[in-house]
Amino acid sequence: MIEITDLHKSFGKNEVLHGISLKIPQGSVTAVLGPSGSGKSTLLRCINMLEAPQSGTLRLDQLQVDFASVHKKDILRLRQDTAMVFQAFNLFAHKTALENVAEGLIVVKKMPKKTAHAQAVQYLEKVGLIDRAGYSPTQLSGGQQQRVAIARALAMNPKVILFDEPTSALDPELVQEVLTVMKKVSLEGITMIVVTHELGFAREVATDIVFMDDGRIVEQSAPQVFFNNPEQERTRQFLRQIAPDYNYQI
Amino acid sequence: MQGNSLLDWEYMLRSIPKVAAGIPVSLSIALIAFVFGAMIGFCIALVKIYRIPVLWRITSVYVSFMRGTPLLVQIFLSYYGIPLVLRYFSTKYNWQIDISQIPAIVFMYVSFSLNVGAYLSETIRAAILSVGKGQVEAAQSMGMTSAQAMRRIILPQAAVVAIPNLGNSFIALLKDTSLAFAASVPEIIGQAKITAARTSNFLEAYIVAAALYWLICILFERLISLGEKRLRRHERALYHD
Repeated sequence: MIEITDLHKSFGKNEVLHGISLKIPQGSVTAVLGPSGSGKSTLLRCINMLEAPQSGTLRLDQLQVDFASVHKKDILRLRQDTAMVFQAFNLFAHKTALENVAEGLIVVKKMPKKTAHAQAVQYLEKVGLIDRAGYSPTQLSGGQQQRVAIARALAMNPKVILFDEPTSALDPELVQEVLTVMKKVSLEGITMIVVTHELGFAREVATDIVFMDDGRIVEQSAPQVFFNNPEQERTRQFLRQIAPDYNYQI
Repeated sequence: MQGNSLLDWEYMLRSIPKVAAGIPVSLSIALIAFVFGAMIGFCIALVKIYRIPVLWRITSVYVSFMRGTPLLVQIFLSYYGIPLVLRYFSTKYNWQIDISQIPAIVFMYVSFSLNVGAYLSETIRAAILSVGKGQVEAAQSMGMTSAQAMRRIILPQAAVVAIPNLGNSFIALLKDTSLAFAASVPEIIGQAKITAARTSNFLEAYIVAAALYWLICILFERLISLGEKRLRRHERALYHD
């Protein structure tokens, strides 16, 4: 379980997250929705400490982090427990698909190379890319690259996987294969936080929806409630904008 | 003498082994200076990329000085300056070392390393910065330390970018080592001068020296392009499996 309390993040003088508090239950799939610039990605990156928040606390099972005075060791610990899947895939360009998945096992988990590669094979199988093991990222389609990135995240056996708009950089016809893999991952009970614009995915796969606007959480609810009976006027406005045809009941 | 022949060909042939005796000296200066220069350059690159206070100022002055003064002057400064400084400290702290026993080539190692380091720092800095931010973030996000990310992710990719420039710098350095003759170091030009001085066949000796430099450079160009191909393995095309 993840518990974030009163997280503040500024870039220079510009505060972009105004005190976020959030509970994410074990094994849940949380879709984070909201207009661009609302701070969704920044929140995700704060959980992984790719961005350093100015204040707030985060608890991930036994690990307790106070952002105002965070120790380097805790950052590394937190990052090992929170894998990240990026919008731009960010596969290591000089390594094959297999080496990408094995890299963290070798360097961070100190696994012998052979064991790491054997495990990496299993994860590539899981995302259906075992026949591309020896390919380098430039030889793979965007969808395939993102599936390798998901395998790379899974291999670290994290407590939570953070997806930062995982399908936004993909050609439309490649989105589905990535969403399918993500759905498969969700069925295994791994906690997932997904910043996305894929409403279909949010409705179908997510167990929780978090709606953000202007650096605040406006509403957190189950998908049925969120899409059919949103509490906040701002949420209704957002849903009307992105899905004008959607006929939610009032 | 051979009548009205333009060059004394026989002399040239005979002088090849004598001039070539300077090759190991030239190569040792080039290789040692390149290795130490690369280390210095890497450190300066890190100082500049991470904008480390104080050090940033010092390295800027250092790089500016090395690029703004002739190499020959730097060689003289090392050759005459280092022994003087050593002698001063040696007497002050009673080190008991005989400075006159230090071979001149050691001062060449120092001055060439310092010079090359300044030039390589820019090459290395640019190469490191050319590696995308996403690569670093991916490495960090899985719990790698900065050092691990540097070694496993950034440097291998930066090396591919840097290698053509590093190769050029090495070739330039190899030819610059000819200046070491000014400090009486018996490298290729030094040997050519000594050999030619006996019979005044300077032109012949220098032609031999030029040919030797040329050959060595061709050899290293080949080696560098082989190395580049090896490093670029991961960019191989899709079609041959």
